[in-house]
Amino acid sequence: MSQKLNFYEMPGAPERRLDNILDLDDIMYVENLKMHFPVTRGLLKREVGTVKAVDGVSFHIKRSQTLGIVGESGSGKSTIGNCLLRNLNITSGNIYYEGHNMNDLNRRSLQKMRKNLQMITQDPFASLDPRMNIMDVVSEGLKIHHVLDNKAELYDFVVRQLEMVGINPDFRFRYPHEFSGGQRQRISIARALALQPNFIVCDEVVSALDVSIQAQIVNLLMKLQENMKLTYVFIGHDLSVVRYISNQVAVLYLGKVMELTDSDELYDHPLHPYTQALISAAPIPNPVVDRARERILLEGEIPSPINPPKGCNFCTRCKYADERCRTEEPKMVDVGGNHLVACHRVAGA
Amino acid sequence: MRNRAAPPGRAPEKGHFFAELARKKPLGMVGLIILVAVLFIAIFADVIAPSPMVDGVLQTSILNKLQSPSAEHLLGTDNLGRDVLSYLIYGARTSAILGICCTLLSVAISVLIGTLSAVIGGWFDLLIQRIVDAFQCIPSMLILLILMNMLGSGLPQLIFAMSVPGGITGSRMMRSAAISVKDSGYVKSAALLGGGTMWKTFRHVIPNILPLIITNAASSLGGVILMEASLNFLGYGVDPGTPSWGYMITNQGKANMFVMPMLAVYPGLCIAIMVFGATMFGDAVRDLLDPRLKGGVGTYNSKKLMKIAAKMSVKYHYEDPCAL
Repeated sequence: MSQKLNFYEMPGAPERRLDNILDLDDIMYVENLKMHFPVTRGLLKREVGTVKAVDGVSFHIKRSQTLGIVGESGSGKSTIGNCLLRNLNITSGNIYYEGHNMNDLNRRSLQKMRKNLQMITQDPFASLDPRMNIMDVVSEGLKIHHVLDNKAELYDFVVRQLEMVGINPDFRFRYPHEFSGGQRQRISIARALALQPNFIVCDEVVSALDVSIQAQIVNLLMKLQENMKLTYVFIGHDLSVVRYISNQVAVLYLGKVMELTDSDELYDHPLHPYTQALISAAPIPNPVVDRARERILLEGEIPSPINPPKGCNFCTRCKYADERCRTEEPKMVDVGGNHLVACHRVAGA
Repeated sequence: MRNRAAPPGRAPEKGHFFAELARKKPLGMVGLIILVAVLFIAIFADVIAPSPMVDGVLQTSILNKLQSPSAEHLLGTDNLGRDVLSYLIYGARTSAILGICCTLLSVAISVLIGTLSAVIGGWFDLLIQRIVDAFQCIPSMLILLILMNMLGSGLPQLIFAMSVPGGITGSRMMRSAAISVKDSGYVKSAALLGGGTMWKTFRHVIPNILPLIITNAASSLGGVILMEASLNFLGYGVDPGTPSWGYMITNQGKANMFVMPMLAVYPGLCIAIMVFGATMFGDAVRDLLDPRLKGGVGTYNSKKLMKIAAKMSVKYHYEDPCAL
């Protein structure tokens, strides 16, 4: 592929709206994103409630950087990833990619946009078609978009693509079942990168892998980011992995961002009680330090997203919670140095 | 990473499909030979049959009816004095053509309806499934009779009448298989790459339900031949007088069961052999097309290919860009 196609240069792309971009460095700007799923019951699909999977999330992602999203199960991490790619039709809010409001895209332009926005999914065993050899797997996107119709060029491209992710190109006619989990994840990466996207959502890409393989994959992702100027949204629940790869980290709890700041700042000076608890729960690979530190143990379960608590989402499990936390919802406040926190206690101080 | 010219596009050496079939699945090859033989007999019936048709009918002679096998009539004669061997040979024409055409058509219809209904989903799925429900409510024989009444008798009409309702009701099974495939990770990934409904259906869903399709087709072949027999019995099949295996069982065979049971056994054997051939061939094709059942490491399982692979990996030595 000789040149990279920018989405706004393609025919049929909506008009670029610069006024919506806060910063030209931002590749994506998310404004008050909400994704509610209706809960239906009975034959007539009567709506009995909504699951507020993502409930008012705003952030922006800088070009060629990585935004990490952490949170426990059910906090809406993967839902955000799917919303960013318009895999789901969002309930409300705006997502601007390169200044375009993604809500304006029709189906056709959305399919074209798939060239620029890609996703790598969690399970490397499910994401490859068992009946396609990896040559076909990697070139699938190119065939769909008719990017390279010349067979020899396509072949050449796939070989280079496989070399890039560290798969021996001799294996190109093998089938997915002949590869290990880590190799399959590399093949998924090659497939996602084949269309030369610039924005990639990595949805728990290393969760299903061994620790040593995790390191390989994360290093590969970082190397590719450097070479191809990629922007990542890295979704994970392993705090150390997310810290390693991310420039910024957002902590998600019940569909809301609790804290959002640079990754080192977040891990060194967590301000939100939930972040503090999360970080204290992550093991430190030094038993002396690990035993000596004080642990913050959270009690109870994450509340149901059908019926989230009033006020601050975290108030049911927060040891500092007071009357104000239970009635009034905290706003995201910048406490200085681009450190955003949604907590009355911190903001009040 | 060193930049090298990519190797020329060539798939690993694969034997010719039929050679592979004969080598790995001898029984499947036997099945194929049976099917080809039946087709051959059907096409060249006029040449092969000991007493060929005259003006489109086999010669009858009431005087020679229900004879035992003799040099003149190798398998004897039926209740109208027709040569049983010739009758069977001409019967292949009706039964083989009917069986193969009906099976292919009905499987094609059921795969198309079932997979598209599953992949598109939503109101389309709902609508299509209610139509399928309607077809399933009515006994299939009744639909057949109505259709035959509307279309008149004849082989093309019969093929249409037998395969369309069968295909529609059979789509239920295809749909349920397709639903489990369409929710899998690779179909979602294809959608993320920008693949539309047709891409997902024809590149992912259908190849992955192929085992079911092939098994279904092979098993419906026998059913089709017998169905034609019962239609004939009701007077709606091919023109009376046209030899067919199914008709022979239900007509001559049934009527003379105690006098000459072989009249039912011969066509029954023919049907059984043909169904056996189709089943074996179908199973072999299904296994050969499944990359997971090929055994060994991909297609590198023979010694010769291992050597080629070893040579290639020396030639295209690559560096792992993310080695720790």
